[in-house]
This record gives sequence, structure tokens and C-alpha cells, in this order.
Amino acid sequence: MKTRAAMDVLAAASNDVLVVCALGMAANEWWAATHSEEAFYMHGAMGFAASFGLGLALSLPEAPVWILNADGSLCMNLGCLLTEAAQDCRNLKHFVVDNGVYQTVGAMPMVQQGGADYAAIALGAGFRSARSIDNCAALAAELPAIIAEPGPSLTVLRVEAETSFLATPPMTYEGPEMKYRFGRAIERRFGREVFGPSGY
Amino acid sequence: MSTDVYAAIHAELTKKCGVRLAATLPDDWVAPIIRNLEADPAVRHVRVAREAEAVAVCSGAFFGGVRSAVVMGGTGLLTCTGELATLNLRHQIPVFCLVSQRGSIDDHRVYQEVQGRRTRAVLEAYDFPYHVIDRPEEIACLPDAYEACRLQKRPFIVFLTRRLLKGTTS
Repeated sequence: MKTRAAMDVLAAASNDVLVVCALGMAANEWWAATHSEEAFYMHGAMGFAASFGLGLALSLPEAPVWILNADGSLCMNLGCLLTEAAQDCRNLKHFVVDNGVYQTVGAMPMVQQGGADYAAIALGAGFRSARSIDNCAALAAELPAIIAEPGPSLTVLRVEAETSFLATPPMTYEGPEMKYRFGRAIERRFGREVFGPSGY
Repeated sequence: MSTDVYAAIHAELTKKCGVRLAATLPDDWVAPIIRNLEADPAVRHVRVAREAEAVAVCSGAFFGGVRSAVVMGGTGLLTCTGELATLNLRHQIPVFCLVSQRGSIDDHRVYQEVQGRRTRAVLEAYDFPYHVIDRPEEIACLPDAYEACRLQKRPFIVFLTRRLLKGTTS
């Protein structure tokens, strides 16, 4: 399964979800697939998009929240799986793009490349459900059940390592503008006050 | 005295600052603050495995419109300065942190001495604002500190001293 193809399958089913993307490949590919402003594309803190997504999901229980993580990021913060499991957050779904490499630096191999089973780790941490999927047909077939089941769940997307740098451009805005576009989108859709009356 | 101090901190955080989510990892000085947060049904308490998780959890909660606080020890603060910079400075996301001021002259733990000498210099290098609460009557400044955090749109550290939390006996 190619990363872009897996993203397209997810994007087609992502009607009403808020998405938190790990920096790098996951963020760039999700932007390319959706151009969605109801997604937060993290520009730093590698490993902690998952924790950010958990905080968002806990504070907006009426919103379906997806974490779009990558294996390199997950391994920088494996403890996030314990925290997610402990919070038992029903509206949270965690996806991990597992290509075994650090894609954006030229597909340098990751530690324990190909030998780690992140779904098993998630189940061991106490997740309600976890699975690995390695082809688009299976992903498309299983996605409705993944969306319907209560979270937290972990879905590992086993994709091919791309041997060359993927030249997918990043989103066309950044930093503070990312914050305001995402926060205003949530204010409009959920009627929450993210920013105060003076705009901060 | 300490029981009253911890109750006063809890009251200011929850009733005046409006904190409804707390993400925490304890040291022995802030552990009673965390126990009070855990016992409060109005607060969603998130125990984390590493302090940077708490920073990111509270950053996510900001976008849900929920007021939040990180509670951690001074050593934990040093472990997450990179995330505070590349997430919170990068995106201008406020995150309010209550932190024990370890390594002070009355903190007779040899493994805290570097924290005592270098933590504030690190915060100043990153341009993270901070404020020190040293006496019980100063706890009432927490709402102002919380507002300053929102207004400055970055990490804001409130240090709690040993004298405040543990009294004068070492």
C-alpha cells in the first residue's frame, strides 16, 4: 500500500472529523489529500501530536478526533499509548503510518525496522482495539467499523517505504495562522469559544 | 500550613482560573496539588508518562475551549523545553504550568542542584515568562498569571517554592 493511496481512503471517509497530524510526511500528505482547515498540522514537538489529539478529544467529546501519526513520531512518545488507554476516550481514533523509515530525510531506516508490532503494543497498553492493515481494499472495507466502534483504537497502516524523498509540499500556512485557522474552524462548527473576546 | 496552601492553590486554579483539565506528572512537592485535582469531579485529570505529553494534552485542550494546567516538578520542566518551544512558541499556543522550584537553597537534594542553578536561565533563553510564588498570600495572583499566559500566547511557568509548599523545616 502506498502512503498517498492510504490517505485517499481515509480522506474519503473523513467527513466530519477533526484531524491532528504529526509533522512531516503525515501532515503534508493529509493536506495534499484534503486541503482541510479542520486539521491541525503540527510543526514541531515530534511525537506529541498524539497527546495533542488526546487533549482535543477530551475537551470536545462531541467531535470525532483522528490522530494521523507516523511510526517515527509514535516511537518518540510510545508512552502516549498508556495515556490514551487510561483516558478511555471514546471519540478518539489513532492511525499510524508505518513505513519503517524516516521518510522526509530520505527514507533512513528506523530502529527495529519492520520488527515492531505497534498494534500489539497498543493492545498491551490497554487499547480497546488495534489492528494492522497493509492494503487499500482492506482499509476501505474495515474503515466503517473502525469509525463506528468506540475509541480509543489504533490502526496501523503498513505502507511501502518510498525509496526517494516524497516531494509533497507542506500546507500553505504555518505557525500562528495554523492556530487561528484551526481554532476559528472549531468555533464556527461547535460554538466553542477558543479565543476570548479580545482575540487571544 | 501546607494543607491550607494546597487547598488555596486548588481553589484559585479551579474557581478563579476556571481550570477544567489538568495534565500532571508528580514530584513529591506538587503531589498534593495533583491529589486535589484528581479528587475534584469538575476537573478532567490526565496522568501522563512524560511531561511533554502534559504540555501537548493541554495544548490540544486549548482548541476545545477548555482551560487547562500542567502540574509537574522542576526536573520535568527541563525535559520538555524543546516541545514547549517547537509546539507552543511555534504556534503561539498558551500553556499554563505549575512547577515546583527545585534546587533552591532549602532543597537539600543533590540531584536537584543543576535545576536550581540553570532552569531560570534556560527559560529566559527561550523567552518563556515565569513568576515565583513564595508565600501563601501570593497564591491569589494565580488568575492574573493565567491571564498573562493567555495574553502572551506562550508557555507561562508559575514556580512554587519549597517554603510555600513544605514550610521552613528541611
